[in-house]
Amino acid sequence: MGENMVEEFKEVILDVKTGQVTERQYTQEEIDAILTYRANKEQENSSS
Amino acid sequence: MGYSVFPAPSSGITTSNLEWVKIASGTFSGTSYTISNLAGYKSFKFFGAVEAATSDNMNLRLNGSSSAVYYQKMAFNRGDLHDAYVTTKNADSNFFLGYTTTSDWNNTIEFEITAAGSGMPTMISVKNIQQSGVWQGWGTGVFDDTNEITSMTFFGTASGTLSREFWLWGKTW
Repeated sequence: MGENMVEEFKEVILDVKTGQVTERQYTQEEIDAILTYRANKEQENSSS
Repeated sequence: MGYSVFPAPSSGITTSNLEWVKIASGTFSGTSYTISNLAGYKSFKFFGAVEAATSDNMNLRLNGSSSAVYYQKMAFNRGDLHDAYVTTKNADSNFFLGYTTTSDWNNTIEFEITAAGSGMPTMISVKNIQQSGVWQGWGTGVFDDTNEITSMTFFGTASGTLSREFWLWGKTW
């Protein structure tokens, strides 16, 4: 279901002491790191 | 939809007689979800579930001020739930708990982490609570004097558009 949507690359942050919820957009550098991480994991999974 | 039964925390490795208290729960479909401001808690139980995915790797990153975390890697296989691990993959000593699934909401896992005190081992218990038999792995780690987990970040390998659910319980010092 959700895989056809466009990922926004955002982090949801919950402060458990205050209950405040904020969102943070990932930087391009972080996005690149995530995509690399995912690609490596996919490779590990397919070869295991 | 999702994991419809609110899971009660199971018994496990504990060093405190205090009751488990629910810290947070929720559903998200972003790239990651960080539960912050956790200082003061000693033990954690984490339960996560993910929407159906061709292949997903669910991860829980524990962020703390530790200068050194040591561990024993866990690896096991059971059906399409495999390669659970505890590792220290990044330079700033955060460590990761994770597993890989190719199934759906029925593949969930519970992590239990207890920070035992300065210089003491940190016990980590991993159980697949969807199975009748308990599959348990363990690892040890050592935090520095600060010895606190300040936040946890929950994320998966598959697209952040997938829905994920989590529950987190804790015990105070």
